[in-house]
Amino acid sequence: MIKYITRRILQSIPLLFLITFVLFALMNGIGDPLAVYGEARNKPNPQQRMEIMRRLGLDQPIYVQYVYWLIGNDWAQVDVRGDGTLMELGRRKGVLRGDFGMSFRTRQPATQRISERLPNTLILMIPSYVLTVLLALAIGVYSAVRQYSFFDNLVSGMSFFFYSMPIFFIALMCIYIFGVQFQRWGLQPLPIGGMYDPGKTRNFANLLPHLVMPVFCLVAIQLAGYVRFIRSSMLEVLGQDYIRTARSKGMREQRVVRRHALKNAALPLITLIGLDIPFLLAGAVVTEQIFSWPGMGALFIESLTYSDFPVLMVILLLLSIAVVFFQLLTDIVYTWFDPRIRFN
Amino acid sequence: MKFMVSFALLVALVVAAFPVVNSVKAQDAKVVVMGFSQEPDTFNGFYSAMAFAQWAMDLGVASLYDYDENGVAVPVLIDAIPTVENGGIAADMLSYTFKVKSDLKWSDGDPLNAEDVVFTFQMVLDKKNNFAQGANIAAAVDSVEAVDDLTVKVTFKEPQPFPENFLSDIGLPAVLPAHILKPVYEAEGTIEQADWNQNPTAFSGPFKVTEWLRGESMTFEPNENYVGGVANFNVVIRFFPDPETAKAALAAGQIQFLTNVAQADAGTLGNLSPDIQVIQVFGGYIEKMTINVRTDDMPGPGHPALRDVKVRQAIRLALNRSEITTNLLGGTTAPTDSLYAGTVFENKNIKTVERDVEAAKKLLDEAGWVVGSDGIREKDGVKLDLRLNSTNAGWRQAYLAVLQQNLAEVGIKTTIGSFPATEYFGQFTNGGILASGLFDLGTYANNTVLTNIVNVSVNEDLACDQVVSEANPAGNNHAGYCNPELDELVKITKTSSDPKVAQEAADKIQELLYNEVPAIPLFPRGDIYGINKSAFAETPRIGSGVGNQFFDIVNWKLN
Amino acid sequence: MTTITRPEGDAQPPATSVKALDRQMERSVIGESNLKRSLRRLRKHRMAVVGAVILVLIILYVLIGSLIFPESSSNFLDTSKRLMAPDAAHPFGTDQVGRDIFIRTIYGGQISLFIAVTAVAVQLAIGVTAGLLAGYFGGLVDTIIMRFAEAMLSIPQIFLALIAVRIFANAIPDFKIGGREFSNTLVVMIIVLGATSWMRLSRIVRSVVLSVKEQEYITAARSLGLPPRRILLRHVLPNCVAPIIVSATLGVASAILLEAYLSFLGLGVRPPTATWGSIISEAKEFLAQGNWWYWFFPAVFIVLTVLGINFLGDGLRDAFDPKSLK
Repeated sequence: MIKYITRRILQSIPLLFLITFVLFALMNGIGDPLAVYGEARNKPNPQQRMEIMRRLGLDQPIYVQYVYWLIGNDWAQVDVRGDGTLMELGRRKGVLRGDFGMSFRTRQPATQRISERLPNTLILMIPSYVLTVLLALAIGVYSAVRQYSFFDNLVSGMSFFFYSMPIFFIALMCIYIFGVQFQRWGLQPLPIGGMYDPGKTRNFANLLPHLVMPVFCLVAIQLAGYVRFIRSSMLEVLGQDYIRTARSKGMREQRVVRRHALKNAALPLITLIGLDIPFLLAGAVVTEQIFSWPGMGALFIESLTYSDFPVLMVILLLLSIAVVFFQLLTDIVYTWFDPRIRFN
Repeated sequence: MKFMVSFALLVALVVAAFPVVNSVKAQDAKVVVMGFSQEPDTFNGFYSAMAFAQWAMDLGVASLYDYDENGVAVPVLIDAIPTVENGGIAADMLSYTFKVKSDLKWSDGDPLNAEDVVFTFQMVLDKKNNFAQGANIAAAVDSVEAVDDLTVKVTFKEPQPFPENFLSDIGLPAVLPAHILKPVYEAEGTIEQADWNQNPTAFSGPFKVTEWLRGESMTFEPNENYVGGVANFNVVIRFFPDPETAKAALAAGQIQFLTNVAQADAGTLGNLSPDIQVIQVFGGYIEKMTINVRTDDMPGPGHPALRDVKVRQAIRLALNRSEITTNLLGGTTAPTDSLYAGTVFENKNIKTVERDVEAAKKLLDEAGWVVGSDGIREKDGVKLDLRLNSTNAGWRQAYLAVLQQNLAEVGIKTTIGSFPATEYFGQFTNGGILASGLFDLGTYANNTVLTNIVNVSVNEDLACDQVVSEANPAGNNHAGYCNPELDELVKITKTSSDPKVAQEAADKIQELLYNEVPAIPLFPRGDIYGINKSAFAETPRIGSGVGNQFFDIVNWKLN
Repeated sequence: MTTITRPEGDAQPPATSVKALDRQMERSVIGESNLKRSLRRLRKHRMAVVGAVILVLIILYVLIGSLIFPESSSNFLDTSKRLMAPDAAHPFGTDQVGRDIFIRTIYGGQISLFIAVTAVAVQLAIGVTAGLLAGYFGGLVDTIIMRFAEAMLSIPQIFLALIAVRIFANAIPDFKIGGREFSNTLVVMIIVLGATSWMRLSRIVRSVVLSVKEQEYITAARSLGLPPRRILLRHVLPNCVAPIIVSATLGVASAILLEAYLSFLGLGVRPPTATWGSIISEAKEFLAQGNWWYWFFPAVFIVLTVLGINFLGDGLRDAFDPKSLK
């Protein structure tokens, strides 16, 4: 077991290097970090812009930039003016020495920008994910047991409705109904955007009303996929011989479902969850943007808009590591559930 | 049911796992909640080219002097604006001498005096700081010294008639606190990563930042040491990346002051709620169409037809700009053909060209571009098929569609391209659309012609030495237009201290651009604010966006 | 404790998480003789028939509509008639520059459906090929393909899509089909959506291949010296039909939605060409103003299409996999 885990981890290291290099190369194609000056009212002059570029290392070829990112440039001379008159040592240490770079946008360490956002994202994503899975379990199992009943069709229809609506649309609808119109109708409106009411103690009571709409939207659009998945897992298991055997032995239906079917149908669900959990760290790009949620998704879009590569790289690196980690974890959990699987 | 129990348990677990932060005490003070669509990138103005950062800093940072909504200078930290008459500007214009008001204090109690101003200039002059702002100051200033505790003398390499380029909110974004940043500078050799830039602790402006929740909000409380008086309310800035959410929050009364309202919303924002009032301030910000006249020997040449001034004039005649301003923008602005529209330098003799399809067709025929079998004009086998590009902002897409149809009516085919801003404004070396000439007609807004409300200065968009090339990849002249006569006139406006001479040159610039059509102004864009009337006892005074829009905030009256 | 009884001769799955997920999608072997039976079952499937009817009606709508109204009328604008509620002249109302939304849903629907279907075709082509090769040949081929898929899976799809849009946008020229001009962004969308969503499918296909590879008739075919291509196409591929159908039906829906998100972020198909998704993302600015018709009609089409496809997909899955019926 330990041997297996070690092997998997060792295998994933070259994979991570590959991912970072590919990402780094692609990143350079997505935009110009200094383009923010394009429509600015106080544009830096061209010489200044070039000097900023050179200091940030953006004038170098991609492979050099990657090397700097990896091992730093405190051993290399930076020709600031581009004519050899002003040389200074670089100040970066590189990822391998724990320096994940400086955000172009705020000139803070990229890791700091992420650590500010990560907890916020988890506060949003974990409740919505837990709710989604639990609701999906309840609905999925029920509609599998009553396949093609009125309830099954109704729930499928509803979940598909939300599934087929773009989330930005559902989110804006919610805002106008529960935020704006509720106030007009004299009902208690929900807060629009943000995590807390400004100027009030930041506790759970302050947070909860802010959570309602984004969580609802996330659950609404994710639910259909999970319901479908669980329903079909259940249907497959319910069609198996041993279920038929159990039934024919006179076991009560509820017991059949709970004792045998659910347990076996849970296996693929665990795998799916293992694949999905790492992406909770990424946050919800569109939802966070619309609900002004200060999380990773909003940071991601902001960094992408400003082509803030160092921040984007850390986000993506974090995700890749999480994916590798959770896959490993899933495998281990899986053997625990299904003793027939052995590591070899 | 067991399932429900485990569900409830899980929910309880999740709830218990929340980090509960207790830091802000309940406040009784009145508060104005503002909506910003972007978060400031820094609180050190020299590291930012971002309007939102500038606005947030205007709350916490006082400049040496400001402008009111009419463009009149108002001293803030200094006792008088230097002029030749009061002796502040030396007769040879090679130096300025000015006095900081006495007994000024930073919000933390430390004295604010000449030392801070001198330190700020020193930081601008030291390139190791890697500032994004202040290059023009660094290039012009020779030395700075504190004559005494309050008096500062700035010496230049060449005569400088305009103090605002170096001392006002427009030139010098802020006075830095020497007592905090000097130790950092001495230890690290640069203040690029000084903690103060992100977590400021000393303020000279009307407010001080008491809390900055990244991605969410900034809280400001009144600065008792501010020279202009003490406000009787707090300000909270909340960040709304999505404009629709911000509009909804304003309509619901959850914010009271919304900045940066889109021009397309200026006319309709008021419909959302009877409490909403829209305030528009013009400051020389113009949406315009740049025409790519680069020739084939330059990188990114434009369509050959565009090098013919008749074709450019025909395009201007074909556009129905008033249809856009009346129907799409709700009549909140009107077309103009002066690149200085909305400023004191506007040449009132220039009449806006009205749409005239027949005249446009005639000009195109004269230029040799005749209608082909498919309805598209052509000359020597070349079709008049242009790339009409802009950023991917929704309201721009709407007006581009109108322009496309306008041009189609005179036989000019256009293909609309919409790009994310980072790609559109990207650098030449990075394949940026404008810089690399990957456009024929490109629309965007800026006020490069006018960077200053009191003197017409840099005209970088159309200056010869700014033309983008391999040798000058960071140039700002994307059109590739070069006219030495224009450069000469611009130089006069930059260096002449006689307002009449400057005005004459400005008038001539506008006439020249009107005749040559290197760019077509579409319409001036205002700085538009939405306020919730019920929160304000009287309509707040807001400065023009060129200067400090919060110049009067301590006098705002709240309900 | 009960264990899962697996189909006869099924190989013990290697221990990777992929297997676990995929087993759920694995279906018992369906020979070609079963095809007719499956189709007969499909016809009896009520929801599937409803789904098919909805889809046929939508396809007829976008095809017949474009025969009646020329393409230029879809982009014709009149700003004096902007944001008008539905009436006799404009049954679905007009948009922000006064274009007719009824005609725009016709042409937008063509583009949306075209993008979705071709993107899924690309996804299937890449996913099935990669899965077949990896599963059948194993070893180094398998490692390379699956590591690559894993690398791509660990990056959020929307991010891959955003980067791919940038990279392909300048590489592909505009093109003409049947006298109509299409912008290159259409192709970009198809490539982007297809090339960023094949990974899960390829893993499923691979696992199916692994499980049938060891079955007697495949071993027999191999020992007879049949070329791998023939074995793969004739004997292995048919076993993958069920997971492919499920992926494809879900893929069409998610492609329509992903295109809408890209439009929302301003990176969708280049205007003035409409898609259902881009009309909705335009309409979001007018949500508060009460111009409901702007978003309502394109939304109805997206919902109906997604519903129709999924009902049909459900039916197909049940038809090919009788075990899931009680």
